Amino acid sequence: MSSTVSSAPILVIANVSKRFGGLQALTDVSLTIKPGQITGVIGPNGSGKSTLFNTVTGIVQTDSGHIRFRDVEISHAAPDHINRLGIGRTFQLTRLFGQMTAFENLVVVGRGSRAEARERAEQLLDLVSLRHLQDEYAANLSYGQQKLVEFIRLMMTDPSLVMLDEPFAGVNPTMERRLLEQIERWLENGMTVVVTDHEMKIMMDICHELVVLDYGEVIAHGEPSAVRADPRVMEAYFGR
Amino acid sequence: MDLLQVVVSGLLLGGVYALFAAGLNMIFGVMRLINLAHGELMMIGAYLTFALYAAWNVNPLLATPIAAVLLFGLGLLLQQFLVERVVGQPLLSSLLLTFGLSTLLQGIALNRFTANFRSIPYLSGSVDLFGLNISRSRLVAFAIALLVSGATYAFLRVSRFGKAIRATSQQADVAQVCGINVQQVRLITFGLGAGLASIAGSLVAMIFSIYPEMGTMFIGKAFAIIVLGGLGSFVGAFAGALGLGVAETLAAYWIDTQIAQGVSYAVLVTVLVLRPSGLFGIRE
Amino acid sequence: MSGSNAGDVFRLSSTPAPMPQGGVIETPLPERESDAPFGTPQQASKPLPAWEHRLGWAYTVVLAVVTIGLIILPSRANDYSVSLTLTVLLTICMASSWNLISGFTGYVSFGHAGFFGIGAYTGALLIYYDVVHWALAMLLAGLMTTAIALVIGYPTLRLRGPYFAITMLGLTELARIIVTSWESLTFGGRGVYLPILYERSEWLTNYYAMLILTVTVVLLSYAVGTSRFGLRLFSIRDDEGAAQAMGIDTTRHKLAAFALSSFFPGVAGAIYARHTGYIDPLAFFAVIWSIRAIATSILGGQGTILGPIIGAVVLTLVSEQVWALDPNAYQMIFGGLIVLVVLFMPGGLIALLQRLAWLPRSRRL
Repeated sequence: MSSTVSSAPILVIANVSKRFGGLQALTDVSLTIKPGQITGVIGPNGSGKSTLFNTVTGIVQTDSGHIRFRDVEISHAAPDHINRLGIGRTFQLTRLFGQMTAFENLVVVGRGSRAEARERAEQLLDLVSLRHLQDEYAANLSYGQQKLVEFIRLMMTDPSLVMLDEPFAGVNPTMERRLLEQIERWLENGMTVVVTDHEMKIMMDICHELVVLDYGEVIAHGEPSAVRADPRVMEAYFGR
Repeated sequence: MDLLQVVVSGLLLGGVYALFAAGLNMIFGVMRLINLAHGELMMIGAYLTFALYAAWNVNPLLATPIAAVLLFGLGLLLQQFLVERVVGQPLLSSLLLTFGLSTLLQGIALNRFTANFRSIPYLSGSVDLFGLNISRSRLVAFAIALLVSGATYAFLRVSRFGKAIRATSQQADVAQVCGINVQQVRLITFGLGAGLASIAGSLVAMIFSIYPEMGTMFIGKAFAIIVLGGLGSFVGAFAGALGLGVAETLAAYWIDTQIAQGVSYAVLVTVLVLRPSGLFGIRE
Repeated sequence: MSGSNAGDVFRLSSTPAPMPQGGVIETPLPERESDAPFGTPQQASKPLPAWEHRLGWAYTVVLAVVTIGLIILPSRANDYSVSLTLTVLLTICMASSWNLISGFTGYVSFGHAGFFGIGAYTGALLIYYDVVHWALAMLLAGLMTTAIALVIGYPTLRLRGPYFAITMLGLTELARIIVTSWESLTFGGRGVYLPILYERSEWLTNYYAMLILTVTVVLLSYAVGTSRFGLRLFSIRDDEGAAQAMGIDTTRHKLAAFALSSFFPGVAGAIYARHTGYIDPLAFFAVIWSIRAIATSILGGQGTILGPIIGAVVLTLVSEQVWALDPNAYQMIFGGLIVLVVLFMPGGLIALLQRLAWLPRSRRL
């Protein structure tokens, strides 16, 4: 996965700032996400990765700046509206609907008719070989299974841009491979992926581009090999 | 001069409200649950004071601390055996549990004391203060409320245990990791809340008449005070209580007492709808 | 919280009320879902287990049979039993409709007492001033509370958890105070006297009106509980933030559920007002109306379709025994009962019956 696709950006973040009380979480962040590829967002803890995700998906309102998704301004849109425009996300800690079955977790967010949603849910469960657990309450699934269900739940909403918040944290190598298979499939279908994680090796391997955040600022943005060599990145990670 | 007298009278009343609301506020802060039985803890304190006075002619000012200690004990028992079990559970569990308690305690009071209004004829009459005609019982009640509120505030700020209560309110899981026994904090907080409610009840018994369902009226006021003053803000809530006392007395003076009863609810709803995070911000 | 008036709704005669859900409990359901959560790969061909289809049938049959039974009841039973059944139906209406907003979305509403009171006053005043036919008055009472719910729901349903609960509590009290103060229209604290219905046939219209309302709310609960709309409401209860991030317009869903939910206490209040013939603000805006709806739902099993119905019947029967035993102890025992249910039966009777394997584990209950 090394080829880069160049065309008009799917997501443009321009001069976005966000402050929580005394903490400047994002400072004048500007970056563009190219369609059809994986962009990784990395940075030390507290560097603003989650805040960035939350502002794009409408969970947190920006103080200033613009966010445009396919030329639609979304910086003040509600999360459900943003999702319906085509941005889907997962959460750092999976957030399935615990008191609903795996199947219901999928059907509930489905688009189109009820029958279509059911059919789609069945296909997706088959795809990740979890069909036998479809009537199990989500809270009773193992963590890895929950991750997988969250991944396919995302697909129910037909996103064109997917934002994954630390998808590999706390999953075993087998599950990691299954999650990566999914991501690969999404790319084959022309979707765009933004991912953040601490697993630097995976990030270096799968991402076409990396964005490095530190103290709420973008300190580097480019191909992994270039970013790795960037002295400012070295400093941010190891310098103090 | 009339208007000033009304305002002062309202301020004095507000002191008693503050005392009652403080306990509810503390319990909410530490356990994130609304104690719907808080008004009944106040009612029991009021009736204990009344009973001590009626049966053995105990001076109400002496009966007040006795009742408070008894209510502290009752609070410990209720927390230990009932409320503790719904901490961290869905909101509905604690709402329903404490409502059940409130119904139970009202039922006991109805059985024991009947629905009649009672009052303690103590400190009747009024004094002349800077040209204002002030009810003596209100003046004394305000002084006691101020004293107890001040002591509670000092306890929360200065003492080790008070700091533990504040730490637990702000971040229970962090407090636990830092070695604070949060279960013990919850226990003592509920006991303290009950004790404060009891003192407020004793003071109400000296100012107004008391009846088994009096708690209903006061808990509405306490909600209004808490959203007005800010959750977890002791000083803010005190100011809110004085404000509510004045607003109610003014409403009663200008319009009628029926409307005055609605002031607290109007304040509650207006503040929450306009500023969902409370007037002075609620950390959530 | 006012506990006055706790008696008159649950106080019953010694005639046992019919159990509308009895048939479902006894229906043999051979293919119970396995209790073992893992490692039981089932045949992945059927999206619904076979008994789920039968459950739908069972519902239809039982509802039809019970409804017919309730329709002919007045011709076989004395006035007291009919009146008693009416209070059971009232309790079902209140509990099932409360369940539509609170059981499904998790937003605990204390507004049912307010809707009940407003509905009672709307209906009673329309009848008193002879504005419209009584049946239309009841419908208008329901539309009135629905309209009010839409207006107050928009700002209040943004409030999370405790704040929504106390706001609804406050609004109910506010409504009571407004009704009490607006003496030129409502006669204030003196209350409203309605014409006494001497003729049995006339009097029975209240019973039938309540029956129609009950059947409607039960059917609606079933429709919601088995629909994707209902699932979306559940998703709000489980994790509202995630639901929103997955594209569910949670505000609109909550508002819709709240509006649906508020219609029934409005109509029920109007029917009950006509039934009792006298209303006053203290009795009809008492918080206990909300609490009864809540306690009934919890006792049966919140978020389920059958729960509020089972809860209404059981609570009414228990209340009757207590009342017969000692009316003075009634309020104490009612309070104690709520405490016990919260502590020892948080899932309600439905969960208990499911644990005992007398009822299948299914969302469709």
